[in-house]
Amino acid sequence: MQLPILNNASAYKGARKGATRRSFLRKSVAFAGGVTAFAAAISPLKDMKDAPARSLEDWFRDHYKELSQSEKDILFADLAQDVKDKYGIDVTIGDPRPIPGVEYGYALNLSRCNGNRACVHACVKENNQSRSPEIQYIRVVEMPSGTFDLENGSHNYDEETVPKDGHYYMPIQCHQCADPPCVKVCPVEATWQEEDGITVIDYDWCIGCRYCQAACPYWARHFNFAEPYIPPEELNPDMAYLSNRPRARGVMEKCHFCLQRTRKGRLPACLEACPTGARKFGNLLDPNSEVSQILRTKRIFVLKEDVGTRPRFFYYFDERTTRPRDKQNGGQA
Amino acid sequence: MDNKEPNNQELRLGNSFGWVVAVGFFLLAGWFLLTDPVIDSPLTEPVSVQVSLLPAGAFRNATSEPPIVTIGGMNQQCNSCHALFKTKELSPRRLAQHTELELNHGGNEWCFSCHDIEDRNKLVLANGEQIGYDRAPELCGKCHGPTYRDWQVGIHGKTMGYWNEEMGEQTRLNCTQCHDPHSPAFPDMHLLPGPNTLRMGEGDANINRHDHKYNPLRQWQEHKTNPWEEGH
Repeated sequence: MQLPILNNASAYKGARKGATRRSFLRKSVAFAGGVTAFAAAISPLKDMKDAPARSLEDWFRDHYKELSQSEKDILFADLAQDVKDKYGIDVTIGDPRPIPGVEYGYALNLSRCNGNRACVHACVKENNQSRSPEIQYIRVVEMPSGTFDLENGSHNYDEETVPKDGHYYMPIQCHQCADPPCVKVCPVEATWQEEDGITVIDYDWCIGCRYCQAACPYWARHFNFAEPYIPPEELNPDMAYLSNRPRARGVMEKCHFCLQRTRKGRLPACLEACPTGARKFGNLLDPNSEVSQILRTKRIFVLKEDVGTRPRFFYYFDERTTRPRDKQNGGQA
Repeated sequence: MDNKEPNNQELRLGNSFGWVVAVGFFLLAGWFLLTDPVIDSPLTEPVSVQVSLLPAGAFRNATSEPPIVTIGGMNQQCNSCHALFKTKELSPRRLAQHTELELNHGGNEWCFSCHDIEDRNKLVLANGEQIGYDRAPELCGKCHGPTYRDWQVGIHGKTMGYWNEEMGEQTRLNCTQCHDPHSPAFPDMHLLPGPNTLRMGEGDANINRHDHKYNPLRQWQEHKTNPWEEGH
């Protein structure tokens, strides 16, 4: 009895006949190229520091909204361990949820703001923003009094003291819009608006496409172009998953009204740092809250009302008469 | 049969094109594999701001009691001296004492707009009612009505602690914790460092801020003038 393949000697011979030196070389090179390309494609794996099981878990993890509490607990403990490995500091990563019956609002008194930038740096510290390259959620724009031309405003004013005569200061941060364009454009639903009006980002779900940055009319979204640098001694250990835990390279971040503080009843860091009391924060649904009083009794406006985003960040100013100081400044407050 | 099969010339051309593409991809794959990705990011020196520069508490110290001054090593209240030495001349004049106080408070040209003549440990309202230092905001409110009204409901002034009083303590500062009652206009303040962030215009990190040649935005801005400064 013979093996069938040897029976068909002519077919075997035909197959051999096609394998010339040229085709052999061609196939070898194509094979080597394919292997190299595959190796290149999976080369990021060689930089992976985690244990393989952990990496696979990360890879196949569900969206934040679909995680069960037990899955969250494991995840947050893992993330806290990551922070400890990187910075050598024990941190807690919590997940405060919106308080029922609360919708946050922010009001800022342009008559009082003197542009000293305390809010900017308090925010950087509280929310573990990268110091290099620098990311800041709040930008303070200095503009000539009587004008409203943001293009003519200066971010980099550098006077000896503020306020500068004849100028006013407009801090701009995330306006936590009720109709947020950044959420609409996100292709992977990595950002969404929560019940209390805060628009949050899942930094692990974000793919870094920066559509939201382009969509936001308030320049509120910031991209981590490089691996963030935070001095370990300046790390704020009170963290929350959706807010101030350390971010990775290639993801977006934004102001979230300090939700790790505000959802526990505290005031935001920028407000507590403001030496002039220009910043006001509270529950829009509570008629006696400071922001509700302001909305009722003050002349308020929102930035770029015409784009229809319905911000929850309101600017207001005081009715005021001319004061002696204003006379020295040529009548300009 | 010759019409269906490509001739040798065509085969050679097709093959050489395929080879160029294949070798190109091959080299590219090798390059990706062997080199680390280089990211040009305009890294800057991190700016560190001391926590002490971020005023978390009251802007100035103010007491709800009459102030205590130390004279000759002894702690004295206002009446320690003023009960002994009656005020002789009830008209605005240059003081021999309290020369460290700068009185720059609008139409208030003398002490007794706010301080009681008889009892210097007290303040006085316009109707002559004596009040303690703990009720100072009422006194301020006699002239600054709208501001007082705003302060009462939390629109004016600084609030600290908790927005939700059910979850924690809220502290609302009173008038004199921010304003010097003798010179209440808010003082000019020193600035904290400006941004080095990306995409904030002229502060771009790779640009030397003082070298206008490489900063079109700054150059453009300098040619703009503020109509109000021009006096229009």
